[in-house]
Amino acid sequence: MTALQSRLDVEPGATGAGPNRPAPAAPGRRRRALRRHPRSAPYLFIAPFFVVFLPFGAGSVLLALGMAFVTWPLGQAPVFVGGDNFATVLTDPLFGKAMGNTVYMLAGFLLALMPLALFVAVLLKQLRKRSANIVQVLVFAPITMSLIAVALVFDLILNERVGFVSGVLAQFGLDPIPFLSDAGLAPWSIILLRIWRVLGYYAVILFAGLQSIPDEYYEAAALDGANAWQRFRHITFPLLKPVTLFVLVAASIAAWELFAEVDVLTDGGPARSTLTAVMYIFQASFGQFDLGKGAAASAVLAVAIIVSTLLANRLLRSDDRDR
Amino acid sequence: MIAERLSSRVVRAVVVVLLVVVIAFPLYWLVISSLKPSTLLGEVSLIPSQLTLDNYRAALAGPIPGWMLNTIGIALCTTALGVTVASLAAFGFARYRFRGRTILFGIVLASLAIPEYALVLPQFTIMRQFGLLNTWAAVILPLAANALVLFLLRQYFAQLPEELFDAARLDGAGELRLFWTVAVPLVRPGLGAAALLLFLNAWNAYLLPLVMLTSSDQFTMPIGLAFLHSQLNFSIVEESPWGAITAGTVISTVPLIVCLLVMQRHFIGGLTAGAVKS
Repeated sequence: MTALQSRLDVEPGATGAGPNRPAPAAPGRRRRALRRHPRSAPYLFIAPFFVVFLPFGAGSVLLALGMAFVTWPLGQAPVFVGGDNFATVLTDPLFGKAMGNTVYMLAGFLLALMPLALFVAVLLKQLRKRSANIVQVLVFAPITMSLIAVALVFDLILNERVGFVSGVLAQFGLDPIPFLSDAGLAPWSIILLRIWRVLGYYAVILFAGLQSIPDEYYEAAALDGANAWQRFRHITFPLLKPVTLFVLVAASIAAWELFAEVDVLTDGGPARSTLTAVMYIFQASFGQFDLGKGAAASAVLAVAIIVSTLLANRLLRSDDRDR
Repeated sequence: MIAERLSSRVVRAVVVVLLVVVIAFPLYWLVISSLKPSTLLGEVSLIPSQLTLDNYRAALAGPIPGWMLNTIGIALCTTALGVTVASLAAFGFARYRFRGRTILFGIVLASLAIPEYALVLPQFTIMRQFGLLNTWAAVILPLAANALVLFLLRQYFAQLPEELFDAARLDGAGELRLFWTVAVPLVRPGLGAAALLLFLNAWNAYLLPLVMLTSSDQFTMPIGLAFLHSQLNFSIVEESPWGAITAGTVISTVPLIVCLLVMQRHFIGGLTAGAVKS
């Protein structure tokens, strides 16, 4: 229970108020009333969901696993090949490169996002209510846009030929900066547009967490002479931890799955510097039509995501126990 | 002391303005670019020397209205189907004890740990098997089976007091009527959050429709815009589809931003309550 656990923490009703059902206080009448429903009723309620979920949720998970162990040329029957697909993928330097790029961009993304989102959340908290509301709505807007729309907007700004930045530089007689065509810069351009899209969203979630911390704690600490940093360190930071963990896990899962922006803006280039793991899977499956290889790479990436999520939870939770 | 407080206020105001500009400028630049004649695309002045609706005319004459229709249709169907099946199941899981409940709900929960992209391949092979590739259904069905939405709704249904249902049962109401007339009206905020989550997810989906929808008349907006953008490299700036791209991006972005502005609190609350897939 990992990503899930932290999802629970910020959901309504997870704050302790909702046991599954109230304790049976007046047994006689209640029991009779409960019995009155037909046995089949609960099954009929859950059936429609499972009709859709069994093939496309649970069934697809099993199928994904199975596909990793077969070779399945288009129009033919699948043939079992054991661990061959995994051997192919794990020894493919390109897959290593793709995983490395993904981790690099994920790390850069998180290192920049977390302090920024926390900063914006604290800023929102310090504003008066009405201005906080206005700023909140504005910074939230980018999350409603699709990744593609955001990528296109940033192309208008960073593009070497027609981009805003090159235009400004040209007015000063300077050369354009190759934001998307330099192997060192391109990953950071992708990180930048990603942060622009999600900063407000995560800041608003952290802001909601901040508001659930009672003001009395801060007042008491101030009376005891704690300065701003000490108040942050000893009140805000520990009490905000569950929400922070949620943001960290949600943001990193999304970053592991980076694909759309690079597909549109760089196509994995330049010099494969922005080739991501999902892009590798996509190319193996639909470029080379090697579904088995794609499925094996998918499984490796899924394991990486699940393990890193577990680790993030373990590290941050055990930190609690030490205190 | 007063000077200090004043200066910290000034600093804060400056930081807020900076934040607002950083977030708003790209949006402003998108809108401005969509209103410029394509020959002036590279012009950097903040207020363009010439404004025109030509890009929108070009966009509406091309395939964009069809893509928009596909996007709206897919998003609405996903939302309707997803909310219906998830709310029925959430009610079933929250209000009844029955054999297999723990296991079935456990399977749903466990599926949340599997990243979405990993299911696209098997979903593709299933759709190919059923001959559903290149149809709306190929995108709607996988997106509607949303375990997170079921999970979210179950929380809302579980909070309702049992006495409500007992009373209605004594009055002779059937189980489906309990669901529809007693429970559903009380969990409206949850249903709203669920609908918003499903709708946004479908509206912005990229990888799944990219894999499932193969002919350009079936594209959704994200796929279509990405397709137009991929043509850029083969054209000179003056004849490029930039005009249609900028206008199309505005057209596909504005409806949701308007929704955000109109329903501010509900919109933000709904998304932050259940949204994990950002």
